[in-house]
Amino acid sequence: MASNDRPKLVCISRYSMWLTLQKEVESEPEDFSKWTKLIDEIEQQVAQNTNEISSSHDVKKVIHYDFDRLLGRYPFLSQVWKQYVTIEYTLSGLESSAKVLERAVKAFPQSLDLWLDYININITNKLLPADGIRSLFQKALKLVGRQFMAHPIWDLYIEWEEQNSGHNSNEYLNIYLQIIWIPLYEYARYFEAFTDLRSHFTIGDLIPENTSNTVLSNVLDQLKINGTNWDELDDEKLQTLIDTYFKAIFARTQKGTNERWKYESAITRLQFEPKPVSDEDFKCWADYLDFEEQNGDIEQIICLYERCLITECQYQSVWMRYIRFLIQNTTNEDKVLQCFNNAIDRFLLKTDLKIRYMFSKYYELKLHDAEKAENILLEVVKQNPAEYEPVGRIFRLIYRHAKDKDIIIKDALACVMNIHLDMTKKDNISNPRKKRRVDASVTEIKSAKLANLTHILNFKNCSQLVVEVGKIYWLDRHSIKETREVLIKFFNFRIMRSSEPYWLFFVKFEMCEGNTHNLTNIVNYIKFYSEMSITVTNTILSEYNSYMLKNGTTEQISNISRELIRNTLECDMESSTAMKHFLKARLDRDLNEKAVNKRLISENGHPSGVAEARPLISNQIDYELGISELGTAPIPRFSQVERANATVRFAHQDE
Amino acid sequence: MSFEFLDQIEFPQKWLLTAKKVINNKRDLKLWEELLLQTERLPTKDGKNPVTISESSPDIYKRVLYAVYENLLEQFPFCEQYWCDYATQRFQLGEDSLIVKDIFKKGLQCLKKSIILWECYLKFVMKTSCSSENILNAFEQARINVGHHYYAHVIYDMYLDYLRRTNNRKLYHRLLRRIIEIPMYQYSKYFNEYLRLLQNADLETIKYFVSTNELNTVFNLTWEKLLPTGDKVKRQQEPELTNLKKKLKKIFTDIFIVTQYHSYQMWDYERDLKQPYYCPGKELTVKELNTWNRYLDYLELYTLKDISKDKRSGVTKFHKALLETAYERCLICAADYPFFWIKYANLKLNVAKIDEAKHILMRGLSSTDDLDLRLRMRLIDIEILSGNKKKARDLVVEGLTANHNSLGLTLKFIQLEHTRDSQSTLKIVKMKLEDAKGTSFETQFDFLFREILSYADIDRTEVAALFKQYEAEKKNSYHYIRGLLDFYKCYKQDRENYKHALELATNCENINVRKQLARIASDDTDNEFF
Repeated sequence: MASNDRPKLVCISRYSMWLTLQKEVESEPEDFSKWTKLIDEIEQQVAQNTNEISSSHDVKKVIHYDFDRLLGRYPFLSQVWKQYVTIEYTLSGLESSAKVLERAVKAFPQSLDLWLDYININITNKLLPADGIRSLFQKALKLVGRQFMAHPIWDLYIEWEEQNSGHNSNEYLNIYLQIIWIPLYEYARYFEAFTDLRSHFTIGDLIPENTSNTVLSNVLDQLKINGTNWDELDDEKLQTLIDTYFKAIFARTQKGTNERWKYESAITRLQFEPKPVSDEDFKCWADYLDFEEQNGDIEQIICLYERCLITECQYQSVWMRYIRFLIQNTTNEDKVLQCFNNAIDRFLLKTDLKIRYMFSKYYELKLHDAEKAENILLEVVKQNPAEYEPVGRIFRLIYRHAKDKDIIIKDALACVMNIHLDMTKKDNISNPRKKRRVDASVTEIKSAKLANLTHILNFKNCSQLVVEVGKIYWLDRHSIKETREVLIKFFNFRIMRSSEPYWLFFVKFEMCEGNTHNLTNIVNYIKFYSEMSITVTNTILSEYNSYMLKNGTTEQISNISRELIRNTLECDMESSTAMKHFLKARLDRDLNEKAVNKRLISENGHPSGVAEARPLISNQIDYELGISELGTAPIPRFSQVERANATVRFAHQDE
Repeated sequence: MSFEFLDQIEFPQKWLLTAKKVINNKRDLKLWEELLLQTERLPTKDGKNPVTISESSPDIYKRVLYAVYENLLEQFPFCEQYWCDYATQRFQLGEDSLIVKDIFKKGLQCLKKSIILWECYLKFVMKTSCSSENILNAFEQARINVGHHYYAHVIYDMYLDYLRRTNNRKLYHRLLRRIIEIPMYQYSKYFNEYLRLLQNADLETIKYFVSTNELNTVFNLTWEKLLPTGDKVKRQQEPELTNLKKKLKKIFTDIFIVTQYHSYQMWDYERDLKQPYYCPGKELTVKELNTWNRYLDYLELYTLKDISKDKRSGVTKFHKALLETAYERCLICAADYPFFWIKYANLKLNVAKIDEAKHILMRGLSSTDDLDLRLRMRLIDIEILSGNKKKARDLVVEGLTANHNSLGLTLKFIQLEHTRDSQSTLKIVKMKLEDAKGTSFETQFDFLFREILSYADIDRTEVAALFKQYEAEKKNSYHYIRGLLDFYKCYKQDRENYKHALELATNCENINVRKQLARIASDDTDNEFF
């Protein structure tokens, strides 16, 4: 039923409000409030014009399209699923609405409400045989039965089993035997009912002989009973055993419930809403998970993670924590992969990189599939063309698994060189005034993996490859000469000007090697040619200052003291733009600070508007001259006086 | 606060109590005000009829009052009105005018652009000086110092009034001619007055508007041509003077346009400055601080070299005076904010006026708490850069005496000692590490393990030994492990030891430190996520 093709809206043109809201949603699909209005409007129109709409295939298509789109984006909106089911029931009948519910519990398996509706619809309309219903219950309880407020579904199960198998059946008893272990909000009620019930059953029903758990072991120890062959025990002993055992379970469950109540009562929002979780809730969930990881059994922990992810599904850190837990505590690779895919494909943004790195590492280290790991990283590089780290990671992955590592290094550098050549050619075409020589020709990339990577790299992120090669030479091969050669080779490249990792690495390298001469050259270049953010550029300048003050000789410091002061002015947040000479130079294409000064003056402190000139008295009287020292003041001369009232030209008027 | 003559007078209990409170809360202006009030009423015999100190009061009362004022002003030198009150009160209590003048001078040294203090001083001078030369000198000093204040009309009104009263027409004209070029709050009234003078100018006073030379070169006239020589001629010459006035009026109207333009531009900022005085303990609003910052930046634009190439020209000086006045004004009300002291010092550094920058930073140091030690650190760096390592060291030691646990100052100390004797660096580091052991500053000083790496000439074997020495006790220290990782990875590239450092990072007992380190070492650990 899920429809992906965008239907034509002509069919709803007679419902003007609907059409308007539909268009609003189209223009701003990320605005959730618009969606809410649209869904409410659809609901209202369906209620008012049921016959008309149910007979129109196109209108129904529009409705499906909207619901599917919204629920595809936010599958945890149980209320919307319910609205969808109701509308579907009204328009297409029971079977269709049951299918929607089936989709709902698949898309949102942690929803107690949806499971209840789904089971109810099946029971009420006898859509499944008894075994089918029972297995549905069991499936649902596996997913939501351990939720703190899961009593409605347990009640339903108890009620159904009572009707279906009878009050004295083992099926009925078995539900209680499961439920009494679970810390639920209404645990006491179940115990009460169970205490009444258990008198109808034998010890073999209540504590099958193959039962093995710590509570039972403790009770057996306590009562000094050896083994679980109940036939050897007299009635009195058996009764004591039953009482003690279930009392111990009660005490355990009671304690568990009370301990959890502290967290359960503090969490303010349990339903998904497309907005951030409050800091208090976030902390509470984290503490609750800590508690559960220390005290709960694996199913209880998983259930809590799943519940937590209803409200926090858009938080990378929570997904990563959950997956880390699964990897460390389970062997279920499918579940781990499902979580990764769910998180990455459905809930998280493409800028949430860490989980993608984790995914790649999981394939590489746990599943030993470097190919897949590489593909994941390739996708990350593609989707985040302005990021450097993914490039570094994929390169390191390729390098780790490469047989001939030198070829990888050569290819990486060739790749950067090719991008540089390409850029230079393009620059020469767009700016023929400043043509640069293009000496080298394009180098062939031998490694297929590097060739693959090259296709998706750009002038910005390719610089990471130089850093990676530099790291290999410096940190792995300990070759300072080769490291420096690589770094210097790309020093003047235009594509390097904006590369934060390249300059930070170069500076770090030279600082570690104590080469003040190179360091000074780097800083002098960066000051004027850096296309990095001001923060990073200035960080380098201030680190250089600090380094020189520590390591420079008195003579060296004296020689560059003016420069160091200028660096300080450049980095200070107190300094005005007028004091930041290097920044001003960088702002001009020809590195001409004066041009920027002129602009600053004409902007007059208002960067959004430009006044061509401001009036001045050119021969202003020198105020330091005493009043008696100067005779009659000269006739004033002016510049731009006629422009005093000239209108300001605003930036947006240029467009 | 010290009163060496306390035993010469029997103080009321209440006064002693307040004085004690003041000593314990020196930065509480309200207590000071209370003490001042009680001191003024020391001659009171009973509580019902307060008697204030007068000229005829015993000398000891006056001395106590002066001592309270002086101590108050030492604590709050930016409270302009107290300088005025102090000087005025001493004058009223029969003190020698030279002593009073010294108080004003002291105040004006500290607050050289305070319009309130200058106004008070001028009133005092007019009252006490019988020499017109002295009075004129005082007015001129005021004009040069605060003539570019946006509210300088307070001074100019007095000045013009004095000249009018003394019938000094020449200077009256000349002063007005200067005032009309200065943008200020009441710019237009001076212009109107100047036009009135021009309108009423006769052949005598027209000379104050135009010089002989320019009469000839600009207007192609001579004084003779303006002179009446007979009835017939007179009729013709009258229009010459009128014409000249008309032309002059047109020219001076252009001054009005320019001044008005600049007054308006400045008003954009001035109108948002709601607290133009110093108020101890009261923070300025963010809006106020932003306005000052923008205002200063705006005025600074006019001082850029590209606008005024000739440093000695009137235009250059004019713009600089506007900027300096604004800075000094700002630093009266925002004296508690190191931001503006550094900004002002940077202004001077930008034009290589190192000594002036140092002076400003010194003033800042004595005026603010300098809690984050930015002013002191900056001053130290500038002293180093200008070759005064001794002064720099003194500043560091002085700072360390008051802030024994300042990491920044300790790093500076190490830096300075390193330039003197590079062998001593590790010794100092060890001393400091031992010193901080067991204190709440121990974690902070663990940074020294990273700091020493930035000294290229320290023997790496010795650094390795230092790391080894502290391994057991610092195994949970973030800075220690971070330094260790960095050292063996980048400085003394040693795979085995680096691996060992990674193990330390992984086994660190502090979970937060472990997490932080995991990020740093992520390149080299396979299990960063698992």
